[in-house]
Amino acid sequence: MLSAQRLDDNPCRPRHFKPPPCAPVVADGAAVELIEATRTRLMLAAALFALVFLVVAGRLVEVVGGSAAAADPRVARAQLVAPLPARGDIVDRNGTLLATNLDSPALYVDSKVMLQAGADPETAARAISTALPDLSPAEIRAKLASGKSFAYLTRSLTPRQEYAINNLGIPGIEFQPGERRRYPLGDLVAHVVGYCSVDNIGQAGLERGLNPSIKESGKPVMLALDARVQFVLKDELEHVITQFNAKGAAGIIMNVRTGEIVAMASLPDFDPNHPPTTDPKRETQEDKDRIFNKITSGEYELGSVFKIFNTAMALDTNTATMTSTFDARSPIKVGRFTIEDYHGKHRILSVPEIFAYSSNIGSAKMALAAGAKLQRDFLEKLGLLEPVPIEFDKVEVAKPHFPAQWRPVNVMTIAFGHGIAVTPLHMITATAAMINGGILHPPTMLKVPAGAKVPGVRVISAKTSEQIRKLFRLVVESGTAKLAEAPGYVVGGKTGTAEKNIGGHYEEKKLLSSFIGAFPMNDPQYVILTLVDEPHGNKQSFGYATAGWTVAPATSRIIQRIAPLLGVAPVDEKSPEIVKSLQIESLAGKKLEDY
Amino acid sequence: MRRFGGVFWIAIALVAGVANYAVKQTVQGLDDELNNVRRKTLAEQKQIHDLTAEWTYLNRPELLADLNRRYLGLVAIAPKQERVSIDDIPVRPAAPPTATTDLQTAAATALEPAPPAAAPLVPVAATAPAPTASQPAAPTKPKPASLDALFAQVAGDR
Repeated sequence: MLSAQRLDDNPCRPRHFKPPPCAPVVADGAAVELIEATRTRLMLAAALFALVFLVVAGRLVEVVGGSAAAADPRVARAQLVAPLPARGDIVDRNGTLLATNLDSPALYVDSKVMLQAGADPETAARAISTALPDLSPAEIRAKLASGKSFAYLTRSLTPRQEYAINNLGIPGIEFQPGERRRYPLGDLVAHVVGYCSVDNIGQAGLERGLNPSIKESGKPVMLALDARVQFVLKDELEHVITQFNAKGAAGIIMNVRTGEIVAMASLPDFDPNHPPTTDPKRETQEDKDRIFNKITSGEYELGSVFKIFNTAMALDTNTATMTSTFDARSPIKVGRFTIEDYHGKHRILSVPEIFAYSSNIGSAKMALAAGAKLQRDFLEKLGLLEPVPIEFDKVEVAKPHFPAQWRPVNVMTIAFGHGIAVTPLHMITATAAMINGGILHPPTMLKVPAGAKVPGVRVISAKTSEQIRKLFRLVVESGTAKLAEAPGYVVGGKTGTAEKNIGGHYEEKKLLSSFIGAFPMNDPQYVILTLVDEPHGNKQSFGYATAGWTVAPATSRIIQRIAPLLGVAPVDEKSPEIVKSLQIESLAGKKLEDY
Repeated sequence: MRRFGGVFWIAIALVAGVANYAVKQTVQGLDDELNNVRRKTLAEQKQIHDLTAEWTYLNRPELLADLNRRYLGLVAIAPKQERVSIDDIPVRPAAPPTATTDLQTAAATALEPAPPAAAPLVPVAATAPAPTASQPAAPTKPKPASLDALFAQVAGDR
């Protein structure tokens, strides 16, 4: 075709000029070649463009078609993500909010803007102080008239205050967005959760102990605590304080299988939304008492509750058996000390009797039979000679006090819980190991997920643990803690009434009464430690302020209220299996004589 | 043929251009919508969070206990009242034979709540702790007859 085309040498040939039909002109060979090459190139370029257009069109179809593009992860767009809160929430084991962050703007003044706008600092200050009565008008006025472009008037406004200030419409008064830690349940969880500073830094409790993880993750922390159980515990402790006109009280409830602490209360307490001052200049004794967590920071010579460990040690090391007897007829004199029995029986007592009647003399002799080394090693194994490992900051976890040199007199007094001071947290952790089959679990404030493996070490044999369970039951059935019985829940426990050691000597009238109870004794699930500081006997207790009259009945009420919440079903304690499982063989079904 | 080729490509380019524009426009619109929804979701989440805090505050156990004391007088379940498994719930004794054999009537009577007088007749399962004729403890205040009456009483007390 091309070769047939007529070539015209005239470059100005009109476009539509059609050469007259005539004899074909033979083209010049070189020109034809050039034109051929150019045309090929043009075609190639056009094809390339067409291809690109096709690709673009194809892609367009794909994008509009949707499905492929939507599934392509590379098409992910910039997400609008909520900014992480300054601190993660703290929730209880059922998800109830214990601590959270709420918007709480700060108020500041740009005095330059204010003065330029011609507002009168005097009137403005008066208006602001009516909305914020806590601030002094003189101070506000000084800040308003200062001429500086930034001065805080106050931090963390409530929504109502923010609204009121906004309503005043004063120029130069601005809000700075901010968050403030809030505790919806107030003083209920004061010592557990603790509180934060204005700058959202944990100052006490788990807010302090878990500060890094709460701050970094921004995720909620789930505690082992159950707010409902906590309320019952606190409610009953408050009742004990009013009933016996006591100085304070504390209580803790632990799951014996997991070491989870489901409730922990220390009274008097505080509202973490308005914590008492810790400024040494303004802090009063009352402030200190309220902020003090008796459970983790308080060290006490707990008295007779220690006989649990003394008996377990004797039974586990075979220095005594359930049928062994010890002479408790006369007091022991060691130097200037005399070891006596409170309501003594003045006869030879068997091991169960020593436990049920809480005989100091019998316990001291039992400990002497084992000796200092066994006793010290046993207490060390139970973790009673070092701070309890727990999620609180270490400044809030007290180190126990015990004699540097373990003399025979120490052996005897430690047998009944004097001469050694531990925290209630120590006490409950070790007791849980005594009754759960002999495994010591480290206590934890965090929820243990169902089915998770719980760390633990064996400290006594399963057989000894079973014997301790029987002894616990005996104390409630016919010993010092009959008032702790809660029908259906097979309560067991041990009372302790210690005279407080003030300035080196024991005060007979200043008691620390405690009761450690567990339920149900045939298959222990929870252990409860309650203690009351300086209770005074009343008419109902016939003047007694001992544990059996103060905290033992409170424990009974607590158990009856919390068992349904914790899913512990009542049983018939008179059913043959249960009676048999808790019967002490050496007593051969006989009841102990009344305490 | 060549002319047709040119037209074809121009048409493709036009269609592609228009389609591109349309798609881009739609995507932008969707993006705006998405962001809008996300913003609203965040705002809502924040609101839920604030309301949860408020709800928790209003459900403080001590407040509920106080309200219960004042208006309801509910008491804790006694261990005797607790039935752990379905087997512990005693079977209703067979109805005394009646003259009528109408199934519907029989069903209707069976669905009626047991009259209080029939309570002692209820056999107690062997595992139950003790025979129970437990009556809920009397409330401290006269119980309002209906929900409306309760609301009125609450409003009155305020």
